[in-house]
Amino acid sequence: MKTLEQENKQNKKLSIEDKLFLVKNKKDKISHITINKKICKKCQHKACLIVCPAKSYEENHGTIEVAYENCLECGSCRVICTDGAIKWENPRGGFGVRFKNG
Amino acid sequence: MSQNDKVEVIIVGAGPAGLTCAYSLAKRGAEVVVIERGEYPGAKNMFGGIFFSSIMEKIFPEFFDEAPWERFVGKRKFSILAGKSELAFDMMPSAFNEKPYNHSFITLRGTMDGWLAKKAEGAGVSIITDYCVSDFLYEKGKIVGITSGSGDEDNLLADMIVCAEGANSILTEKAKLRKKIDPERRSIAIKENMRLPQNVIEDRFGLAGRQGAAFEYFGEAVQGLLGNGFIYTNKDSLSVGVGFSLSDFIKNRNGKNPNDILEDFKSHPSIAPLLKGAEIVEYMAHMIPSDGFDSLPKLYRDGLLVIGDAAGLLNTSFFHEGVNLAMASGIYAADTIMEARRKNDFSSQTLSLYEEKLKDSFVLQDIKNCKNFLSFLHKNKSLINDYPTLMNDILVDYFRVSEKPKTAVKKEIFRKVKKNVKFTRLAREMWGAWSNLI
Ligand SMILES: Cc1cc2nc3c(=O)[nH]c(=O)nc-3n(C[C@H](O)[C@H](O)[C@H](O)COP(=O)(O)OP(=O)(O)OC[C@H]3O[C@@H](n4cnc5c(N)ncnc54)[C@H](O)[C@@H]3O)c2cc1C
Ligand code: SF4
Ligand code: SF4
Repeated sequence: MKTLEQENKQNKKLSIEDKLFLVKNKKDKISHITINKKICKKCQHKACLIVCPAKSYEENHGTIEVAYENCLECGSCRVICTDGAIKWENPRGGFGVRFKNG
Repeated sequence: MSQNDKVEVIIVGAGPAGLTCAYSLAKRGAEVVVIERGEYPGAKNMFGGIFFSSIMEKIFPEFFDEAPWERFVGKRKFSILAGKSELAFDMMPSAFNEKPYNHSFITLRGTMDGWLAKKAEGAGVSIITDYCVSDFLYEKGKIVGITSGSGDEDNLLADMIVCAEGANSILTEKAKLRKKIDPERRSIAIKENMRLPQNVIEDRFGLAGRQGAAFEYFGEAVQGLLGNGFIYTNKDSLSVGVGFSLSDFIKNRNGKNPNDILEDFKSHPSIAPLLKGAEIVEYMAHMIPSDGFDSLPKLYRDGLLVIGDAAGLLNTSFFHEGVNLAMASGIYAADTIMEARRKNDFSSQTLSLYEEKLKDSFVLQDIKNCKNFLSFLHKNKSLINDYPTLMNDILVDYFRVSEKPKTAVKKEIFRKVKKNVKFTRLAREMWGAWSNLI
């Protein structure tokens, strides 16, 4: 017999990396996201670091970096970057994610 | 395409708004090209979701028999999660379980967008995929064409351009029809498609035939953020996700990202048993507009109309209607373009007819009616955070089996309520809720 909690824990948990692996994605060599890192230095919230559902943003030694290859193209980082450091264009035609179910 | 290629109408975006507009124009003899950045219509799209089909069924009476909908929404649940508890309002109205099924069908964008695209093509629309419009082309302030940015040979010119690019409205910004979007005006949503055998879904959710369930979860489901979690039953998979306001991510510093919140939601004792054994097959993200009546972009300029999510035309209230407003705006845009074509005048003066049509219809009237919905909830978080928890506590106290006399229990509950609730404030909030939310 299992407790309710143990029973529920049986549901398989996937990491973000595993989940991204499930997404069909034709990765471009050119990044569709560029960051003006000077602006980031003054940013009060750095919300890009937590909002991204692909965890594409990281802070390394005080600089913000983005792994654009993982992007799910939601556009949330573009909107949440209130200081306008992020320049975000749609990936070129033929590149990026390809959802099957939607 | 050569530099001088010109068509009558270009529509940017093969979502419900763009495809409906294209179909409606082509049916009336206009030459229409739809440009889509995805490899196929639907490749970049995700929604909950319930396809509200009243407009769809007017245009395509064959929708019910032909379209690839998954299940009709026969069961609905609105639930509040508080800690590890759940408090829910469940409904299965008989009227929603017979034709026309309340015009509410659970669908997947991958199949539905493709179906709509086929209908548009059948009416003579050309759809070009794998083409991402990077900007509009201008001549003396009028928008006259599109470019992919990779060379003039990709440019295409038109008398009229319709922007149906969806919630991440970059082109609308570039055309100066809206300012940089405020995070309060967008939600982020993530969703997993989880495969589960058809018979398991039907047994587990108590569904008969093509009946489906649409469950919405508030409160702890999104950890105090303004938004909700959801489970929709497809034929042999579940759509499971969470969505919340982007501005809350700036204020909320608990450091959890959307995926963490989704995982917490999925492991809630009320949710986990529903998902048992389901296998994740896809993970997706998308924004939802919440522009609201007072922050809508400008909807037209010389040579251009904006429709659907790109124009912020989404009912942000409890109804969460997007696709039907998108389709309606596509039809009003098509009507306006037919009028402009007759006059051979594509100036903003003629195109302003589009906004008039929207104002006269449910589209802008409903958006106006719920204009304070989100700002009210942003300002009155207790409605989504504290009261649900308190309500849950009260019910637990009330139904708890003990040897305490019921009159004593009632007194205790009353004391608890008095301690936690300021009645003048509650009255104010309830009045506010009544006038802003319903
Ligand atoms: C999680 C979630 C749940 C939802 N639930 C519901 C629901 O239950 N019911 C409901 O009615 N609505 C729901 N909605 C809202 C609904 O999905 C939208 O309102 C609707 O899809 C808007 O249609 P659209 O055609 O305007 O935009 P979209 O469907 O977003 O279509 C835009 C199209 O334009 C293309 N595009 C964008 N930019 C370019 C470019 N530069 N060049 C070429 N192509 C481009 C995109 O690839 C896309 O195909 C939900 C949304 C989300 C995210
Ligand atoms: S939100 Fe924008 S400005 Fe702030 S750290 Fe992130 S990218 Fe930089
Ligand atoms: S668009 Fe969305 S998925 Fe892509 S990097 Fe920005 S937040 Fe992450």
